Amino acid sequence: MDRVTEPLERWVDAGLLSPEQAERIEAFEAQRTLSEPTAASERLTSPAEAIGYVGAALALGAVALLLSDLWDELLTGGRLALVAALTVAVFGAGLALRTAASRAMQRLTSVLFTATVAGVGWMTGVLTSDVLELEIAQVMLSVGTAMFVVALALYRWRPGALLQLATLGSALLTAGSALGQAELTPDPEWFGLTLGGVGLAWFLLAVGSWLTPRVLAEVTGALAMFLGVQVASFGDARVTALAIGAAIAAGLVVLAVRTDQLHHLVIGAVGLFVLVPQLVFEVFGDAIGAPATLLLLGLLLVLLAVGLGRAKRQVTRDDDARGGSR
Amino acid sequence: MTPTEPDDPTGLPRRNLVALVGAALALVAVVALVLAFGVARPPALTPLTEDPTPAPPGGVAWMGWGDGEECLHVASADGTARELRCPRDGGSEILGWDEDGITLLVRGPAQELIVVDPVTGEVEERRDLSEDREPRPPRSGDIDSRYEDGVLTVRHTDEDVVLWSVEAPENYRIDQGSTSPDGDWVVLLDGVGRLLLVPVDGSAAPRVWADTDSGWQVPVWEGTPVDDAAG
Repeated sequence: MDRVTEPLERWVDAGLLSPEQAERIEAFEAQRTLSEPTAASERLTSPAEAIGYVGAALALGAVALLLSDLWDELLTGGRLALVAALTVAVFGAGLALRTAASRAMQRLTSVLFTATVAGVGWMTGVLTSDVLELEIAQVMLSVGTAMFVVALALYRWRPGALLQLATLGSALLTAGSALGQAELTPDPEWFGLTLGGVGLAWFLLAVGSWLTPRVLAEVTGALAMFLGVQVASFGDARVTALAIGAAIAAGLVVLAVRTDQLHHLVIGAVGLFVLVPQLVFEVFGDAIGAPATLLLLGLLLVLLAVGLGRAKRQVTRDDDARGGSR
Repeated sequence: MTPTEPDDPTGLPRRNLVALVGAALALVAVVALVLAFGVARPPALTPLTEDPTPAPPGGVAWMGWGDGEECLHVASADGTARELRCPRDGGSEILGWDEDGITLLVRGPAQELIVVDPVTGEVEERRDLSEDREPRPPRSGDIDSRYEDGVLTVRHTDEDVVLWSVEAPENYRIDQGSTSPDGDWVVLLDGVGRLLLVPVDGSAAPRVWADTDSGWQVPVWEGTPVDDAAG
């Protein structure tokens, strides 16, 4: 007796279902199980897939070691040819696998396309530094821009987590290195504002469902904002930057409570943990010390827990009310 | 995500459009702020090649980056500058520039002193390092710069004179300088890697002698003796 039949018989005996209804449910479940054999097999292939990735990583490490020995001996043409061949190879493999039905193959395709983005960056780096002999700041901008263009194109074609991360990462690299082109290196506040601005735009695009997976984009956008805050805090306006960061973190916690979305809470709490102690030490110095800072953080978390508990109860009551009114 | 508001004529939920516009505005605002207030230029100065008189008493040498490695550069009194030699055997430090040539301390697996011809860039001599003590680099001039109310003031503390006072962005710095052996000139290294030539009494505005890739290593004047420890 399987796990579908047993409760059905119990419910027929209790008069909740007619025998005909039970038979129809049993037939439906049997049919569904037959038509979705891949779900189980997907789970079975996961360890193999993981082992495969570990093996590929080890092989890549070995290739990287060999290349590091060989790299200095190669002429510029050889370096370009080698990097171009590797990039084309991974992109070609991704193209070949893109129509495969298996989820494991889909994930592999995503990995290969992300590796293509990295390959394009590497190739651009060799081209701009070894061939065009640009300065390091210009090389970084070229690498970031090339990676961003390719990552964005691939991400729009095949939206996925890895390509989304590659797109954001290359956007941050491009923005930061574009600012680095200035004749006089700008203060850290400006680098922070630029990185934080990209993070904010990314976060808003995610909130508007322009980026998928949305939750990942919201998380990485918020993290990019915190990165900007942390970079800006190395400048003269440290207190202002940290205060803005703490406000963003608090805003995320509020958003989590209002929308009942856990990821905002996690990122907001991480932001508070990282930024509030820095802010307190910056404002009060050693006057109140580490214990007071910990106490403040603890109180913040208690308030947060209370707020979340209330929000949960409210959501549950609302759901119950809606269920009862049906 | 389930749209909760009515669709607009584009077929997109209003919340999505608001988020898109917000993202675009955030980027535009950041770019505008950075361009308006974040990016500044160093003070514009005349190159020595365009205004060659009065000329300095000799050249200067410095270590900078070229082709991904540290290289010895020289600038002549006429305002021209060139890369002289890339030692390829470790980081180097200039110890002096006398009649024998430019003496470098090469730091690598085997530390040694080399004397380089200032014209050809060839190594004229190699010396073992004294075991007693490591030779010291030449003493640079005592330069002090202060930024206040939008004005950068550079002082020569030995001579107690203001070398240069200029309206400049806050992040424009001059922290290094070196006085010529005859005591009449100072070469300054500014925050964008320019070598600036200024009379020691501050009677004229600096002229740009050369552009370097280095904002950290003070240049060494021709005629600077090498520390006795270099043998």
